[in-house]
Amino acid sequence: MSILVSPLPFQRFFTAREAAVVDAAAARLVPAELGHAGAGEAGVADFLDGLLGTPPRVYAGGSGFIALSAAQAYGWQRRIGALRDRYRRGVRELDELAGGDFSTAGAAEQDRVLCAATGFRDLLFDHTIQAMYSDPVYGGNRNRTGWRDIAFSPARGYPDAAVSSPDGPDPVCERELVDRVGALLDEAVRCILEGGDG
Amino acid sequence: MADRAIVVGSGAGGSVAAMVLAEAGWDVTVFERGPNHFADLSVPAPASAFSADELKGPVRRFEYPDSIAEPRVYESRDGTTPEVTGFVNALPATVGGGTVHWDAKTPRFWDLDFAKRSTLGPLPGADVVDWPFSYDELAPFYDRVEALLGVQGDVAALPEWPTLRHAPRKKPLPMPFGPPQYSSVKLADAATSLGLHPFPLPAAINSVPYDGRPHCTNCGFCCEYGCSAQARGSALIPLRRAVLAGAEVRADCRVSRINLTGRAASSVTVIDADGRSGTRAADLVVLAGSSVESCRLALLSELPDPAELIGRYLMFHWHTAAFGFFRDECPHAERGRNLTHAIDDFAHPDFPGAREHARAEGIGYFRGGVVELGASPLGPIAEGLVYRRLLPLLSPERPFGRTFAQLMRDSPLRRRLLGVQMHGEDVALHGNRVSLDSNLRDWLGIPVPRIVHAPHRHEVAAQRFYLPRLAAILREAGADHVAASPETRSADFPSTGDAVPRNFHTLGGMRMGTDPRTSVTDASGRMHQLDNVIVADGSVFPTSGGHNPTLTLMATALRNVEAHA
Repeated sequence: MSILVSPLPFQRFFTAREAAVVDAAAARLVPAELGHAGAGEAGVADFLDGLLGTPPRVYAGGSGFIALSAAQAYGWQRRIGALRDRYRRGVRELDELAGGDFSTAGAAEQDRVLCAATGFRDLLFDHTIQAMYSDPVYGGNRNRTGWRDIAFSPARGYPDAAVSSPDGPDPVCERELVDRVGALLDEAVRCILEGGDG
Repeated sequence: MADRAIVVGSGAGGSVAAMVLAEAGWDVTVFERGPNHFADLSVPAPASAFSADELKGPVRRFEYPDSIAEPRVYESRDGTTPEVTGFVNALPATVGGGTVHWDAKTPRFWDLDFAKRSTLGPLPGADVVDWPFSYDELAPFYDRVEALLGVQGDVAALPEWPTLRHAPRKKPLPMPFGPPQYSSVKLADAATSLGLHPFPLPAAINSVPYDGRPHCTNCGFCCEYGCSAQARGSALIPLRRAVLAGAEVRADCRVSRINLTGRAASSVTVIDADGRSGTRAADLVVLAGSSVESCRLALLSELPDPAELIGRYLMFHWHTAAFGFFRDECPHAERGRNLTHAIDDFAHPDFPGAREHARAEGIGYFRGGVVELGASPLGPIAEGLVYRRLLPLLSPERPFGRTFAQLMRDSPLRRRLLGVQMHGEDVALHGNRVSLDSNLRDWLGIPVPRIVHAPHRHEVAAQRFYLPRLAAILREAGADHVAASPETRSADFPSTGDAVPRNFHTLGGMRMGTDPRTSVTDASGRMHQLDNVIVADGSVFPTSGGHNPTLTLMATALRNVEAHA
């Protein structure tokens, strides 16, 4: 078992401006609202820097990150190389569609750009979700804002009674929205079963 | 000097083989192609690199072989889906194999699994056979593996029919049943009211401290997560006994070839962690890398195979699933050990209506399999990724924004979703096989496995028949919405499920039997054509059964390897 804290200083991938664009876009994908933090508060650029920076922080363990095996390093080097390319080009695309600097455009304009940039938006949205709900050690979920918003806490165990007893009624807040998901359950199950090559 | 045994693979089968051989005085070396994530294999509950980390495990697949470094190719034999290259039904590549992240459900196979041909008869186009031994012969080995792993359960609560009738037991399990999960009981009650026979599913999870390992804390990070407490039984238990008896476990070492001298293996070629290739002499070689990898190594080594059977009769369970969501309640399946109850009524060929349906489909019978009641399959990241994919349907004008966050808070697909999963039997077909891909090589330059597979009418009929019955259990339990789906796409289910089998119950490829013309190994797992090569993983299964296979795999390995120790 080898858990390494790298002796070399960590080198980020994004420039400060690129990070601002990524965080601004994430903040529109999952906006903050009264009483709820959004992705803008989660540290999405920091999370992505963890994966795309040098050395990459792929698997957390112990007090640091776990040294990749030679086979894992072979795969992640290629995976990360392709992602770096897509992020460099994606940020440029957002800036171009915004006619300059995406990060300083107004919210309506940013939404318009994100509606147009579908390919990069999907990639960034997936990573935004990972950043919001992963362990804060990866750089996102800052101050556990993502977990707190969905009342999630990582494993600490439960007493037997909490395993065996019902919690009682817990109605949803937005019944109509949730029922629309229910009506799409076949499609949802298709997504669940398809998984994907992470 | 002791005779030298080399065990290839450190998972469920390899660990048992290493234990048996080391304790019998062999000089044992276990080669594991993946890393070792445990601090000390000689203690019962070592510290490990595993943690309750959804990003690391289920999303980035920490314990799996890297899908770029070690891809596989999947070809759907009925042409339903385009060829897939990458992650194809790979089991963890790490010391402990698949048992590092299983949820340790350990039902036994049934008597009729071992006597399939003589009990149920042939199926057109399939090769239904008997095992070379009976349930009764394996029963004492079941008892011993249950004691070794530490299986919890309540034999008195097992239904007389069909469970105990077809998997009779003489002894209580080594530890009591743990706390029943509300989520599973809810569905078990629904199953009872439908006339089915639910039961507490035996599982190798400590309900009390056992053999130096602590009891389960109900943390819920179970299936697909390494148990950081080692409260869940695994290959580490026999591996520890092997190490204490002098075995050496070498991680990050890929065996790339078995070298023969006449009818015997004389050495193996090993590529170590630094990429150096060397040979290691052997008096006995045990193949235990799981079906696909063991067949791959046998094919790479060009082991004698006059009947051309190595790699054939590859089987996957049909992980047929239904999901229900409960709008006004959170049944908290995330607390506990994934799920606690099951039914196996659907594994019976005489389930009411099944024979008639089979005849209408042109076959004499079919079987589904054990149905696990009440899992909740998604963590928050996986849940979010599903909403991201649904948003274009929910909000086509702007498929992002506050709707997403609201869905995450209401959580219909994580906190309110329960699943029922059937591990349906996959019958053995000559054309379902693993071979070596003629073009693609892995990061070490070794040809990758090519899996060619399609269902038989048996599995199609079974799924057609049981899908609505899976959904009925959820409806009976009060689910507001229900969806049912075969897990794997095929010509008969072309638009739902995954393109590749994803159930991880990978069996067959070097079937056991008494006749060298129709089997690869003899009745004790030794290859017919070689004097000192034993197969000790799921490759030897002649039929796939209709229950989670790992307990049967370990009991079979124990029986077979002891015959050679």
